[in-house]
Amino acid sequence: MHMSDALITPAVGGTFLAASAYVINYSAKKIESNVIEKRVPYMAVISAFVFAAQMINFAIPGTGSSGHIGGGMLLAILLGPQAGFLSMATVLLIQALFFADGGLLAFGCNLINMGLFTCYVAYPLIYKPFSRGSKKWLLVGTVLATVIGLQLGAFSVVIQTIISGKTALPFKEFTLFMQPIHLAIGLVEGFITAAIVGFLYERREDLLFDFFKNNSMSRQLSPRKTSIIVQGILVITLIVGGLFSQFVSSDPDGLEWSLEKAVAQAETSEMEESVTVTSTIEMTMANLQSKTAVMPDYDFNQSDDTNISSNIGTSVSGVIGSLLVLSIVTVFGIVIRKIRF
Amino acid sequence: MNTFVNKLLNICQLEEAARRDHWLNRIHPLVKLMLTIIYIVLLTSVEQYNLQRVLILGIYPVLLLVISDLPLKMLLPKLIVPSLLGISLGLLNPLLDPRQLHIAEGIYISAGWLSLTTLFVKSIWLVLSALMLVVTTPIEDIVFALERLKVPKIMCVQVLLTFRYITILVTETERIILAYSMRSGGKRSIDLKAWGPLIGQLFLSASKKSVMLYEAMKLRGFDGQIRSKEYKVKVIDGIYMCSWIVIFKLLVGVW
Amino acid sequence: MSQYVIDIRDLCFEYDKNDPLFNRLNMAVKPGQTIGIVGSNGAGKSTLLKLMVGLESGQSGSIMVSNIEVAPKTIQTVRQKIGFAFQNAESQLFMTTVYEDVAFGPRNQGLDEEEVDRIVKESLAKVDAGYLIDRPPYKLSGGEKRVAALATVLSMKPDVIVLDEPTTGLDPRARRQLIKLLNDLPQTKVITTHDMDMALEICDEVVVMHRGEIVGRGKPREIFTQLELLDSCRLEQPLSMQACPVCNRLANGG
Repeated sequence: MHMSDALITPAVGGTFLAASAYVINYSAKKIESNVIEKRVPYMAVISAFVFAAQMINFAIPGTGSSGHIGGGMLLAILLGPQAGFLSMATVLLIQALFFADGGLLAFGCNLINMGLFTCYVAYPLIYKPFSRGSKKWLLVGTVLATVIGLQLGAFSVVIQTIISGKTALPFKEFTLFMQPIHLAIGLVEGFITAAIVGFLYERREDLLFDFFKNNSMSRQLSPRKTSIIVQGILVITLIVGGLFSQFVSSDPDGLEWSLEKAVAQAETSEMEESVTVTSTIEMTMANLQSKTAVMPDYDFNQSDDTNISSNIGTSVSGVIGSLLVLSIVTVFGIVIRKIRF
Repeated sequence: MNTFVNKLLNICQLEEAARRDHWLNRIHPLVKLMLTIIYIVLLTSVEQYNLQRVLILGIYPVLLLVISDLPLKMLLPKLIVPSLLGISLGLLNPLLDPRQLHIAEGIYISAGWLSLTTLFVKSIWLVLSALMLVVTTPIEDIVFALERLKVPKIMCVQVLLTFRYITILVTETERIILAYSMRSGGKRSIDLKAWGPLIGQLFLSASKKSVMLYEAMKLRGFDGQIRSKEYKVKVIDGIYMCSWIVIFKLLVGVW
Repeated sequence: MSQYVIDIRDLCFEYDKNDPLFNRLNMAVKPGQTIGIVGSNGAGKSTLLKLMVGLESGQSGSIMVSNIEVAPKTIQTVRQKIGFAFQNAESQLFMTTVYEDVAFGPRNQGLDEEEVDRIVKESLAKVDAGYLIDRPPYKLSGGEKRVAALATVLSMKPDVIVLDEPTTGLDPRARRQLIKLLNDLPQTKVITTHDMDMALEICDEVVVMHRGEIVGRGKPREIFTQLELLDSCRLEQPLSMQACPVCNRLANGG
């Protein structure tokens, strides 16, 4: 579920980076300073453990295939929401840097998708209530929380991709494709996570975050606190998203296009309603585009019988020119690399 | 292919490259990180059909790649697969966007194919630019740069320690999987009965290690802070940064 | 002021209320001595070392290190006086390069970067491991990890070094190098070990522990000729003192 930079715009990436920065800061502050010494090594090793555990194939009975854990829910259960979120951030950063698993601009998107919904939504609102029951309910809660966390994350991917408009995927179809797949993935991950939680419940329940003695942090995170965090994120998102869209071309062509396609494929009366909505959105986006376009669009070899908007900014001569310059620069690089600075 | 060994090998190769004595590696880490971020923002701003601008923006990662003098054999495999995976959601573009675009006298191209190609080239440049950051900047330098960007200290510490412990835990996981495999007829996928115990054992081992880590750190005066070395900004850092900013401006403004 | 650099008096400690480990244990170490502590598994050797550095607590009696009582309030100061080298050297190398690991302690002491740099190079030079300075820990062999871990301890400039089974897992060459290294270090050393030959070679005195008690103490040769004592503690003589089964002579000309 890692998003890459290629599929998002700076506006989307920047907004989610800002949102995740807010949550990172919040989480860091909330890890009580008197337990930081002990938490730091523990968090680090558990992050490394989740990283390693993600590489294990768990055979799914009866299917001949295997699944993996994502780790967000497991981190929240083992470390608590704040430390779990920071650990998720750490794992994602290392994956982005060393394995190109998710981009650097998309880091915020990935952290929100895989860290926020698990640690700050599914964990307090679903796992915690169930965990107060018997072992059976603890495991049910684990599976449910994992599934829901993943569903929310997958939907977030859809939103981020559609708003960015770098793909041609229409919203409805994309959602209908993503959610069921991530339901299946979520169930597998949920069962694996539940297996681990069950094992620890029997052997070392003190290692499950909720069972820590003097567990003031788990008492702190109530649904009310969760909503404060979510509100904070929404505010940041609106402010930064608004700021960004003033300075960066947000490529509404893509969004406009996908809406066009979705509309063009529909023939029912239900879609007529969405056409009205779509037209309003189209108009708004067109207005936004005309106000915010930063870079002038080139118009090469334009002929009258083109059947779409002319501003695609690409031509054969342009592409050849680019390749030529790139080659010259490469040769230049080969020459200067021999120089020892 | 052994995933565990590959992952470790990957990390080892990148880190070794980052610790070479090369002038690129001596550039201030914050400069390199900021340039990478600026580049990513520029590249991701390019419209989806503007292949020529995407191509020309490849100057940054390609020039770095060439100057770094690192073997292509090492870097190419790290480039291709992530680039392809990164655009997976765009693979349907040719099907979903069959409109014809006029790009030269008498030459038309499918909009979907053009956007997919642009996406792919973008993806390669993005992966390559991040890769070039990592092969010229050791992890502790990257963390130093993150600290300067006001990332909370506790997270910076986490990145360093987690990175270190990944090599230990991945090696241990490989051993456990191998032991399992030898006793389960060669299977490397874990059966349902063993899910909990196997990974539970790994977790308990990790917990013990964390206790030893804590003890080792406390014995050397750890008080919750990790202090890192300072990096002085040099003239070459300024020249390097300004040069690239000027080049970016030219590329975006003129091309 | 005690003449001893380590002075343990009437030490009592238990992990389990029903099973006390140490019952009024006494041990003293003079400055500059190298003491080898031998005993079977479970004798309490490692626990004793951990109590000296405050990694275990809850003891009664007193442990003095360089005339400072080991107690929660003084533990930071104590740890600057006594360095601990773990049995598993890997646990001691938690930074991304050897340089960063060795620099960790001095930086926590608040020294400036130039001084830290000097100390790192000096510490690595003392263990003949200057070439490891920029290496990541995962690239080190077992022996290299051991010396790098030792350098991390030396960089704190302790008065006393305690080592928990330092030759475990080393190949013969690495073991030989470590033994020479330990011999050359001027600090007071307390070494727990199963390596009787090493104890014979470098220790001024050997302490025999059994079930939390000190059952013997003396010069290595004196202790290692007391076969009954060794046998009762599940120990054996150093190989170099044992009779050769082929020619029935002692290996070193006895």
